[in-house]
Amino acid sequence: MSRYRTPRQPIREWLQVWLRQHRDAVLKARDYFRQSWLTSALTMIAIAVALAIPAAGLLAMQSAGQLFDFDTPRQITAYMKLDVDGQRLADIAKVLTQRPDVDKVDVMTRQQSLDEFRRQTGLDDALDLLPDNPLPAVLLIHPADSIRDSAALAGLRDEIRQNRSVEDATIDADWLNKLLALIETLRRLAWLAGITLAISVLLLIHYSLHSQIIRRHEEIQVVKLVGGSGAYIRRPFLYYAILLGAGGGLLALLMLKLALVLLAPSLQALSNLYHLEFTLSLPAMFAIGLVIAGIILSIAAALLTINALLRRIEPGTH
Amino acid sequence: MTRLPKPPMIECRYLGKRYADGQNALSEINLTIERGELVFLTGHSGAGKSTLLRLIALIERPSRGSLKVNGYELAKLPDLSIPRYRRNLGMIFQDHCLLPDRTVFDNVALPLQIAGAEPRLIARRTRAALDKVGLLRKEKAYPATLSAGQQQRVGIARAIVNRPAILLADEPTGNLDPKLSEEIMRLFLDFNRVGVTVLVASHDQALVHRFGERVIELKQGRLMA
Repeated sequence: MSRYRTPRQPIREWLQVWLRQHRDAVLKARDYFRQSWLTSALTMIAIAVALAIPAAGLLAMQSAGQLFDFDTPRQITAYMKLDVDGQRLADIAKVLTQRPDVDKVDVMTRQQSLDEFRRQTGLDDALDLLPDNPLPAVLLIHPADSIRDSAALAGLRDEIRQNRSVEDATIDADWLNKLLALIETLRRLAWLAGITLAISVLLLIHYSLHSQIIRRHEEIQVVKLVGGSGAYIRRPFLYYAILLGAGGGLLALLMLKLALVLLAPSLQALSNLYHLEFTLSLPAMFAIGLVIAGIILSIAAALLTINALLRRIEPGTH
Repeated sequence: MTRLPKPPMIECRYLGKRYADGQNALSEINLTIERGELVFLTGHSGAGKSTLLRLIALIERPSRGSLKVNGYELAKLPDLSIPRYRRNLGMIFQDHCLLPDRTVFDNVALPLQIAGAEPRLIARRTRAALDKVGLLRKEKAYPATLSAGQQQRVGIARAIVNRPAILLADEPTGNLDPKLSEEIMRLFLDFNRVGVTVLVASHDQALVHRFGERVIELKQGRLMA
């Protein structure tokens, strides 16, 4: 049945036909955009916002993460009971140093604690009024490199607390860990927002294509009647969707860039206040990824919408 | 290479079409139309003329029996092959199905554009088709600015532009006065003279008997002897 199958064409001719049909489809997609430019532009802006919001969140998290990227000072401070004498202190320090999860232990006697306190606060006179040294002896325990996560660190702290001579033990990086946990939560929220807004991008493109196809109902029927293939009919709508998705992605980039420019002075002030090296930038890979995300979402939405809808528009159905 | 005798252009055997609502639109149609024949299909409205044309154009699938076009069984033609199959048909409708937002030229060129033809070839063939129906000077006009008869001729130009082997026309003169109707029918006779198989459905008995061609009558979905 060669007559109704694709005849064997030379590859060059086939390529020419392919290129011509795609060029026609792109031109048609441009016409669709022009003919309903307001709706198309609004859809594009909506897509841009939906892409820019999670992207901004991810960018902010990434930059915040870079703040704490330095080796976080992790040590456990053990405050000894007041009746622990110098010998006992040295013994405990020695035992602790032998543990595999402890790197080294600094010993600070009660007198050293007092001296340190004086040096830091300058409260000599007030301290002289006190009958006794109120400060405990302190052990500064530096964990081994093998202790990486905060759970292991907390375990070590709890073991030290068990010692009868120890009044209390704290992890110095507690506040930092809490902040990192908060940032991690925010990062996940940004992803969640990203997924939610990706779904809304899918819906936006779906509705946009739906109205385009319904509007061209008659034309599609005629094209099918005179032998237009599914691919031929699909193509302009696919390019229209890609136009919306790519345009939305580029517009989202523009919005992010604008936000960065507007935020730059206040961020600089903030960085200066805290002596931090904090820059909010838009990496090239991130920018490309954003536009690609827009295009992929638009193709997905287009394929889902077009195939289902075009199957229903057959000649002779009204 | 031995040449086998070519099969008839259209061959129906016990062909039947029953719609989902239970209505029997066509029953036990046995019909052979040879290559290069011109056949008028007549009968009252609802007799099954349109259904037969729709089956041949694969707008509908047969319910029973066999329908072969150019030797190929249409019941077995996969959906994906329908577009390519239709490119070998020219179809003309009572309401001509022109696209209102395109010029006469673009309407007629549509089948060639779909096939991805070269622009120069499109221009040449489109003008040739428009010339045949006498509308060469209207190529830049929009369908709404043309008379009913001219619109129908644009529809005919579109149907013949890619030189189909079969021309199907469903009530092509339904909206036209007798003089225009005869002009349109004469066009079909012209195409038939150059070898195109033509099947024209019309309820106008007087008109179809005027040309001395084969006339087939349908009544309540059955062929009259």
